[in-house]
Amino acid sequence: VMFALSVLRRYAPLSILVAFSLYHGFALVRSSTLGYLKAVRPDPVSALERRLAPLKTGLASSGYNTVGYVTDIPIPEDPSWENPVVLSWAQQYLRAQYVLAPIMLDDSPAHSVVVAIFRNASSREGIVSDLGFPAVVDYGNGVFLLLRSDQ
Amino acid sequence: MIWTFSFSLILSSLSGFFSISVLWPQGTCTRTTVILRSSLAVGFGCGISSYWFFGWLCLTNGSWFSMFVVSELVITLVLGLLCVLFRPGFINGAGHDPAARTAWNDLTPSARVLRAIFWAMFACAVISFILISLENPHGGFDALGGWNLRARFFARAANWREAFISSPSFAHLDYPLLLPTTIARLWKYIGHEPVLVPLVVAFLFTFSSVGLLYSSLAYLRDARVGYLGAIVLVSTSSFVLLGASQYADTVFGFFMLASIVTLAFYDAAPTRDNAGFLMLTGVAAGFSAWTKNEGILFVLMLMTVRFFGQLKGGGPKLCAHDLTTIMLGLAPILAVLAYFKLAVAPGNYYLNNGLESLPGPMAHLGKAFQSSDTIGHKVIDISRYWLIIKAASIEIWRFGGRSVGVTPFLALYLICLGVKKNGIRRVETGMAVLVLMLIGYFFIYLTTPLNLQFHLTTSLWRLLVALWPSAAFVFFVATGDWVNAKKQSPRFVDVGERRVIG
Repeated sequence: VMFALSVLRRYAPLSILVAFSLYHGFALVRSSTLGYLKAVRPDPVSALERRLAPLKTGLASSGYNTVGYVTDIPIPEDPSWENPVVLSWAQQYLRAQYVLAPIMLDDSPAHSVVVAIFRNASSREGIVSDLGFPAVVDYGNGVFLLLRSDQ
Repeated sequence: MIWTFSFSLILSSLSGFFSISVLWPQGTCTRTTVILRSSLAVGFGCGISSYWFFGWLCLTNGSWFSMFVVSELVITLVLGLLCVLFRPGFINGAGHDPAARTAWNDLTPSARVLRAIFWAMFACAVISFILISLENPHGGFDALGGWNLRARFFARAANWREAFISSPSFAHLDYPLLLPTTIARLWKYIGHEPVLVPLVVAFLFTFSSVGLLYSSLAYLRDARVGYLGAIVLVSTSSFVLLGASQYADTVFGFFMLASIVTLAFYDAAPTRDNAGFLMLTGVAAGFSAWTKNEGILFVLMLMTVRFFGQLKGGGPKLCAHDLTTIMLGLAPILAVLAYFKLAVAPGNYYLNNGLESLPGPMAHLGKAFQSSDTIGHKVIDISRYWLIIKAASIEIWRFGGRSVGVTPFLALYLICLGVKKNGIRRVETGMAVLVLMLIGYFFIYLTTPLNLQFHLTTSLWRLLVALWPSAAFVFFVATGDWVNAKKQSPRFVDVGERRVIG
């Protein structure tokens, strides 16, 4: 009995630990497979890269280092980090910066050239007229380049 | 592309392997430590090339890349030559341990079972890593907005310094540069920026950590313990997820593990000329600080623990010897880090009172992420202590699992098998450093300028995952074994009282 208890004491924790690891190892494959199968393709960053490709080409030839940035994702007056709109705004901004680097995006319309990325292309009229940009280059898919009158 | 990519990776890994082998003590620089040194080489190689790439950026502003390639080749060749001259048999030699070759391959049935389970779990982790990466090839939120974005700036900008300093879009301009410069260097070699590069870098660091844990445990303890530790690490879902998200925490975790492993080797090795391990500890700790700001905390804790530990256990002479030797490896990297922090990067958000001190969207969103209390108020606010302890307890309880994580099973393992006195002596510094890191994190959370709940939710799990490989190493070295002691074949024999070396 003592021998059996000794063996149990030595091998039971090992077996439990290995069983736990096996379960979670296989569970990880299962969850990552499901995640992969359900994933939106192309992924959001690659999709934005395609969407911004014409704008990127246009900006590269213009020689600007820093441009402004506007979007139609509204930031609430009193934003909370748990608010999904805030997260959505931050995600789009960082993705756009990632795609357009090394051109720097400044989250402000106070520039002579401003990149506008709208989820809804119809947002253009209101926002562009409010900001007072007379010249607008439309790159399609809700992507615009807003230019001051002296450009 | 694939040839250039492979060439640049092999070049950095070779420089890592040669530099480790040069510093590795003569007696153990043999075939038995090839896996261990190879696992270390990937990270050290990235660290060395990142260090040199940053130097090249500072000196030439990114021009004459062909000269940079030549300089890397020369560095690798010189290190290789040093290896051949000073470490003969550094790949195939049997060294001082004639039984090592046989024992390494002569596995018992239980070790064979564990080996089979390990390879199954390793395959699961690799498949999961690839699937997660395919789902999100550009990495997670922080990789996109921080590490990989910086890498793009380094690879693309005509004047990296200007772009880097004046960028209104970076959240944390003062974050160290090991990961971005590693990726940018590889992109420069290739000539364009495939997403494969950050993905492969993340893959290498993730699975090198597994290799390093396995080989160090196998060497210090036994192949069975090595396989068990590697099984537990590789089946931790958050570890694989964090790696596949291309976050720098995995890289930081790798260098912490490398520091603690080399220090344990130093504390366990019977040879008198083993100071090379201490230099490697210093280099690894330096690279951890060159990866993330948390690495600076790690360096501080490591040096403090070593100072007091050696002062008490070995006297002032041994203490001075250890710290000086660690500093030989650490100082060159800290010098570059200091230059970066003082001359290139702006201040840290933690020291500059919050995100509103930053330019760009983080200032704009500062209200959403920030706490308005003063540090004095935070320190006397009991609810903050409670919130941190509660969040940490839940995270630790669930760590590596769903509703119940690996922690209670490790506790059961510890209760049933006890601790090994020899093992504890080998990793007492590592153990103390990990505990102090947790205490350090506690105080950072307590006084954070960010919204505490936001800070805990978004970073606590990552910090724990970064500590996890080191914690697993310390745990499995220190705990008892399920096999009889007489059946074990430890590589190192305890030598009793340590003496001042050299």
